[in-house]
Amino acid sequence: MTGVHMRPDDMLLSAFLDGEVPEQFRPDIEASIESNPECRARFEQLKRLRATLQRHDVPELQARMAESFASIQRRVAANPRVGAGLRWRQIQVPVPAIAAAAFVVVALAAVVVWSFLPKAPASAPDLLAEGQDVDVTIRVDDADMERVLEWLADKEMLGEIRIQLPEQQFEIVGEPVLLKPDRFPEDFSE
Amino acid sequence: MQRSAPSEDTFRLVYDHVYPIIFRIAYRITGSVDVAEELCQEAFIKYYERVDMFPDRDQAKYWLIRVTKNLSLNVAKRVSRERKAYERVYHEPQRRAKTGEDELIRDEEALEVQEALQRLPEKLKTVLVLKEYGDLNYREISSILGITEGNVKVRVFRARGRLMEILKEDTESDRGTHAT
Repeated sequence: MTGVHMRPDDMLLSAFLDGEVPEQFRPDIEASIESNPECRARFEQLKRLRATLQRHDVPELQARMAESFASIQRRVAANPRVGAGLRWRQIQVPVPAIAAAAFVVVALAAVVVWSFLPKAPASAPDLLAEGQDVDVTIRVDDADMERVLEWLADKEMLGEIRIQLPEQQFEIVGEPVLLKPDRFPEDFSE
Repeated sequence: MQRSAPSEDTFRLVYDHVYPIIFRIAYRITGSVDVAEELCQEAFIKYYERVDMFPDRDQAKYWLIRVTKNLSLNVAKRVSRERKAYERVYHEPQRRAKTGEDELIRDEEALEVQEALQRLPEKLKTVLVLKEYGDLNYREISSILGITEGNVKVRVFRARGRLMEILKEDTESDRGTHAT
């Protein structure tokens, strides 16, 4: 109780009637209703309205409840689609179908696991043979290089091949040269 | 292989707890006991199809209330349109037909309250019905309607104010009729 009597407006009284006013404000409102005739009259009006609304319940509610339950059961039984909801929702699955489903699940799992396994690095000719855009650094020997150039010539394709040599043992002489497969290994010797 | 179905006990428990709530809501929105019964059955059949979708009874309850509220408002709108069309054609207000249900509701005050509720704007009527007949607090109503708690508070207050005005007008109108 704060000691200062408030004059609650009608909206506050309506919320108070519904028990929706915070605890700390209730004593003041109760005091106002008790001490202020006008406030009490308005609150009593709201209470009378509620009593009027709630005085007349739905006729024969209990009897109608039982009838409705039976009717719902009949309607559900008569309509298989609705029956899919509760008592009638029992899934019949044949054993071969379960086995097939299990096989599919295992196969899919195997594919997923395999796709995540680390793979051995492919050689440059193999990657090119697969038609992939190769952008990797691969150590090759002379035989591999020959295969790459032969494959490019065979497929009438071009490939940009950057050859890095250990700088300690080699030094760059002259300008970069475009090698043509059909002139391999003459150009290569340059 | 058979997958075990969700227990029918779950359905029965939810039905026993929620049916009276949504029945009252549907009845207060549509104004007809028979329509309310039909809508509740429709809502529970929808629930039947997804009974294992809800983590607990409260979630099922809120979902059922939302479905029932929407179904009821659709019916109420259709009835309102039909009534207006009738009034346009015959240039006179359509009287409520005396039906078996009306015979059951012998208390004149009950009819007046029900008719006064029907005259509330949809937004106000819905929130007041959920408050008075749905056994719900402001937070639950805000969750069901997708509005803020503050908005619920304002709408409940306005609905009560408007309802009091309508009932007062009706009372004065009745007095005028009896006096003449």
